[in-house]
Amino acid sequence: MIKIKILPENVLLEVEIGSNLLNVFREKGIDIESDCGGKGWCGKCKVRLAKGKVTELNDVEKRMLKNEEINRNIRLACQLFLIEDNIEVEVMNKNKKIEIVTNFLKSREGKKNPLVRLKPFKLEPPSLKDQRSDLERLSSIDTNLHFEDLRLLRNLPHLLREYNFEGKLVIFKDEIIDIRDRNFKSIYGVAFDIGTTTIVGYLLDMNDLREVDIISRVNPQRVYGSDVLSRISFILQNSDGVDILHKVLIRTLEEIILEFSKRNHINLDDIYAISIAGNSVMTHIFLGISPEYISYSPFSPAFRDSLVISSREIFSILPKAKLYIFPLVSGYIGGDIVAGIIATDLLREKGNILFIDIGTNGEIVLKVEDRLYSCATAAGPAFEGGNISCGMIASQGAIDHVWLKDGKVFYSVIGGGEEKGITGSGLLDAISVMLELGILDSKGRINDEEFYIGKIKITQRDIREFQLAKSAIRAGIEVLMRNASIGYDKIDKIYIAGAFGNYIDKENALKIKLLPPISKDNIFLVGNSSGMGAKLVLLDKEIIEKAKEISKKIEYIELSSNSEFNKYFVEFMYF
Amino acid sequence: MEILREIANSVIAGNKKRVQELVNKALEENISLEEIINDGLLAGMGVIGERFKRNEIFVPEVLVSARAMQAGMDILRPLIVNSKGIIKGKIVIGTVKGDLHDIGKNLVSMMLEGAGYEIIDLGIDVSPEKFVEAIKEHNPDIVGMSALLTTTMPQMKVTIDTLKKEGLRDRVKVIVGGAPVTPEFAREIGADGYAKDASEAVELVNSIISKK
Ligand code: B1M
Repeated sequence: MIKIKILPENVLLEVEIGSNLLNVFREKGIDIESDCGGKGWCGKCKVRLAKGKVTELNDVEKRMLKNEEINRNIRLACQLFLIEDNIEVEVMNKNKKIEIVTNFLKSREGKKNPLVRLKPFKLEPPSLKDQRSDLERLSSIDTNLHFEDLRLLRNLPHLLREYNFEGKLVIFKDEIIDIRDRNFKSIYGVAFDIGTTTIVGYLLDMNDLREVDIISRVNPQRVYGSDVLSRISFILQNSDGVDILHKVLIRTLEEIILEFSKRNHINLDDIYAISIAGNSVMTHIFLGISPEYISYSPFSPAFRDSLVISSREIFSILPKAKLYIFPLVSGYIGGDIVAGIIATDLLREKGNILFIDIGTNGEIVLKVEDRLYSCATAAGPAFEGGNISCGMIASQGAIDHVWLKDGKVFYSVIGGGEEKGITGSGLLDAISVMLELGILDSKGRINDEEFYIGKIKITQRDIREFQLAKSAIRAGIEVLMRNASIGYDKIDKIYIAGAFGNYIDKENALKIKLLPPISKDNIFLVGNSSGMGAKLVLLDKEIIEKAKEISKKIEYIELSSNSEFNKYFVEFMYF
Repeated sequence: MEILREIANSVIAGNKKRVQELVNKALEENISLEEIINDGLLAGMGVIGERFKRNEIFVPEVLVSARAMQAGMDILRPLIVNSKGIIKGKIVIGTVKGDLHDIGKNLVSMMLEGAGYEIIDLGIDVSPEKFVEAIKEHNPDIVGMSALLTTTMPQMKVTIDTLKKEGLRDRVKVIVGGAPVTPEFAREIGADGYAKDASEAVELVNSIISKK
């Protein structure tokens, strides 16, 4: 074993000699950016070697690092192996404190039909004349209820007698999942939106059906790569990969639950329902199922239907709760989208509506009359600032908006202060401004050599990356419209969900042709629709049926084999 | 010759009809096939490749120009009796198994065609076995593989290993590319070359062929 110190926090670690530095960070839970997951093409996992000797600078590092950086002893953690004792390194890029979208456009009244509820009971104690079993006695309260849990059955005889045959049943859907004393009042539920980049938890009081608290976190799997495919790639290369990614995810979810409990003085035992909305890959990993076969053609998921399972299968801290998992539609249209369709009430709304969730993948749903068409298009990381020379995820120091006033360029920076980079929404605005000023032509060529917003330079390559991302989304929209045989004038509304979607300027999104031409008044930035859907299912158990219906009804159009996609993809690269 | 320069310029402008007219006119004027192709069509594509590399133009412009070039080629191809001096080499290309991205690979194919190579495009989702078959059937100088997914990159190694097993590895040079592929990865899996973009692919192929 050798010692390594991480600066500036001075964290001291003992590691095996010959360890890879990125792996050390992952194992010890030390935060570092690593978009490509150690493949050697993103150059994000920079560290400064302050002391000691490691393996020599290799070709990947020579290619990815500037000379000036090499002179300052900057190295890439993914390429380094620790071969000597007493090493000190400083992490250059930590995963930023991401601005996480937790809100939803409209507040939705759930029907008073919660997924988990309390039901008081008072039973006749057994006697020689009435020798029915404890369970029969209990079941006689309501024949619609059923009972499955052996653990509870083991405790039942004692509990009934301890409570003098009077108490409260905890009912999840129609299943008796616990028995509490008659004074017991407060039960809670937690809704999780598990995104590739961020995780949001909502604590709900299931008695008054209200939201009590929200906690959001960066998905801890980010050190294994920024997009779902990099995560799967890690799984393919490590026999215990699913296990590792599953564990880091569950640990963070448990931390959120523990934090809820502490902050709000709630007993963990009083949390009885958890709902999970995530994309297909995140849902697989949450359950500990390998998502390998989603990652290449023909992209088949292990399961699609919604699941209800015992929380102890996943969370050691919650032995008695039940988990509801949203159903999936396909390998790339997941439970987050089904939840989003529920949150926006797409099926019940009138007219033709486009629902778009924009992230590294763009999921698009088009509702035309009572049909739902969907596709998943691969935008790439540009909207989240990835692959952009000065790109940043929406976080402190990022330019998030750019605009023109009297011919002059203005911009805003998240958290105020000096600009350190630019977000996808900032870049979208910048492009619109550049088009306006004639610095950029409609084909995407920058006429002037350089264009700066404050200190941030927008390069020709950045524009090209953005063109790919923008056009992938727009081409997906066009393909769905063609499938549904409708024209632009027939689209009544557009809902845009997702983090990037929450910050975009509608007018600019129309101008650069990310969105089809409709009035900007009919475009709504809805926020975290997946989180909202996850909350709604806790408040109204009928949503379980609705989600099932949606996942069955929705038609999935595979773009990989769609010849029209390529045509539109090329066409809409222009602005 | 003025008309050849005009052909090149029409390829650059992506004017398919004009290219066809001019190629026919050049034939009437008894200009040699070799000259029409090399100094007209391919010269135009060469400029496009350069501009693409410098990011001055993007995918749509390259595609339009490539189509114009191909329209000219379509007229000339039936007339080629002796391909010496016209076809510089033969390349089998495809996107690896499990991967269905083809825009980048198509661009590479067009650029190589525009540099005077004969392309046998196996399309997408190409299994190692299909590569093997194609090598046996077409006897190419070079095999090119494209992958756009981190999860399908390993298929490149599987294919190379299959070529070894089939005793074909020494008959061809293998080149690889695609957004997540790196030169180090190419070396690691035992490929003969890596290209970052379509014009680099042309340079790479030229250098491999010239060494042959
Ligand atoms: C032989 O020698 C050589 C030499 C050089 C070679 C070469 C071979 N091959 C390429 N080159 C080089 O030269 C070319 C020209 O200069 C270059 O080719 P490129 O292909 O790099 O460049 C092209 C000219 C333009 N680039 C592209 O055409 C790719 C653009 C993006 C947006 C993209 C597209 C368009 C598509 N996609 Co896909 N797609 C993305 C891409 C994200 C991005 N912003 O880049 C990427 C690659 N896709 C991805 C994903 C995840 C997927 N995609 C999928 C599907 C699709 C569409 C069908 C929607 C469409 C493909 C259409 C088609 N017929 O090709 C799915 C899988 C399909 C499959 N099994 O292949 C799906 C799995 C998921 C999904 N939601 O659809 C991501 C991969 C992530 C990773 N870590 O691996 C991705 C980076 C986007 C993302 N979400 O992050 C060089 O790489």
